[in-house]
Amino acid sequence: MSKLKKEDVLNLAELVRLDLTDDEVNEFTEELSAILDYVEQLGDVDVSGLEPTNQVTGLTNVTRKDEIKDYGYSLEDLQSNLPDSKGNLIKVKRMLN
Amino acid sequence: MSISWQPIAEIAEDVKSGKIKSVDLVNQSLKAIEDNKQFQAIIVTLKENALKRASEIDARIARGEKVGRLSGVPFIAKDNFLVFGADTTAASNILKGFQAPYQATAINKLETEGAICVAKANLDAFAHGASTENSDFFTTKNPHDDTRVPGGSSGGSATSVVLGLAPFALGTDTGGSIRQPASFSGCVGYKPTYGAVSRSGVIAMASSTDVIGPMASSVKDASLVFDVMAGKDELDGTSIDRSSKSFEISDNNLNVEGLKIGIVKEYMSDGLSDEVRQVIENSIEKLKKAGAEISEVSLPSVRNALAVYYILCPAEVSSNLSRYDGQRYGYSDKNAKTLNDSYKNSRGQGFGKEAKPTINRLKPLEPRLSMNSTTHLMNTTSCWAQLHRPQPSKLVKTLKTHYRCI
Repeated sequence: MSKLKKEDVLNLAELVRLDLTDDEVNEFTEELSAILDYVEQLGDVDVSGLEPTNQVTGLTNVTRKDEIKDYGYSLEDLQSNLPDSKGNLIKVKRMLN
Repeated sequence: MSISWQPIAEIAEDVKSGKIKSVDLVNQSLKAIEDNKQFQAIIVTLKENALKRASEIDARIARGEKVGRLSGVPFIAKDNFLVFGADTTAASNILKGFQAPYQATAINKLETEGAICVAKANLDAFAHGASTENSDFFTTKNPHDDTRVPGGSSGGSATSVVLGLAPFALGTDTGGSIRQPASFSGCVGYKPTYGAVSRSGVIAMASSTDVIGPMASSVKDASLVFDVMAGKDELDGTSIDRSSKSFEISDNNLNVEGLKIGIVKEYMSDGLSDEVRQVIENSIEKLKKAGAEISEVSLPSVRNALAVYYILCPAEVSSNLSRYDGQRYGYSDKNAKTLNDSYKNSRGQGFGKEAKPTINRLKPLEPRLSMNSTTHLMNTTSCWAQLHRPQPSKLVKTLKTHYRCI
């Protein structure tokens, strides 16, 4: 039990750029450890000789022509949800402090 | 104060013949939503758009124009479908205020046949959960007993159908999110084959297993709605060509005589509650009497299903949730000084309890099965709808309510 340490969760949170409260760090340390314990049972499954299943539709290489198509979406509608913009561009905060 | 609707095909016929007005149906649906507010199944109604569309359909019929198979039929979409006319939030704070710039293919297909979306139903935020208690907004009640959960994640849709808020609703299913709430709440829920219905315009949870399906009061109604939605869509590369096949079930093809049905013995053993066992056994007896051939089959790997799910699903969810970074849409923290802080704060403040722990995880494995029957019959869940919080820990809860569906 409790394979993960608090630092592991904090490190994961940093990697995925997610801000967690102290309570959440404690809660998720416990919960993620419980899930890791639970999925460990798969280590005992004998899968020798089994082909991996990657998908179930049987579809392969679904492609389309590389051409611009008008779906009737307006640039204005597509931009209407932007938190911040400048002209036709998405405006974000500076990368360096 | 639930209301019951005619079969969907009959409603559409009555609208086409001018016997009933589409506007009246929409108003009936909106009134039912208002009268049943205490169940908290609905996040928002699309009153204005719905009444406008209904008047248009009535006018077209008055002019003698051809209208579709679902003419004037109101329906409710789970709030992870992109629909015009109100916010699409997936019951999450991070998407509050998000206005869909285009509609889901499933919605467009239903609208082409004359159906009218009247409201958006509650769900576990981003469809993560099995009780609808993980909505960032409020908890939906079980339509039969408000101390119990309706199941989830399509709990708002299930409750809507049972209360008769509309003749049908749409759900999505990744690991049981249509089947389990249909079971807990008591309606027909159909989880189709992956790829049968285009996923375009539906907020993704786990893209290699997400499916869209109908929730309705009868198998016939569900089959009609599915028939309208199914088919290849160029906007979803994983959608399947249906050819000219009809999926609509009529009285003529409801016959089960000679159908080989396998009862999966693993599902009938460990952890199954007496009540659910009784219901399944009664169903088996009824099917036998109707001429079905019942035999026992074994799927030995089902014991590992949930563990596999717990690896595959969070891995896909984490990549699908990464798009909510506060830069292009949804909640964005205005106080952040740098881009990195903006990502962290927007997610930290915008995501709820269920979304956060699924942001990070692992790799796939799926054992193959061989079977000897045409179809299988199994219980959807191992127990009845549980009480609202306080709940057991999440993993235990998931084990109890989820694992039959996977």
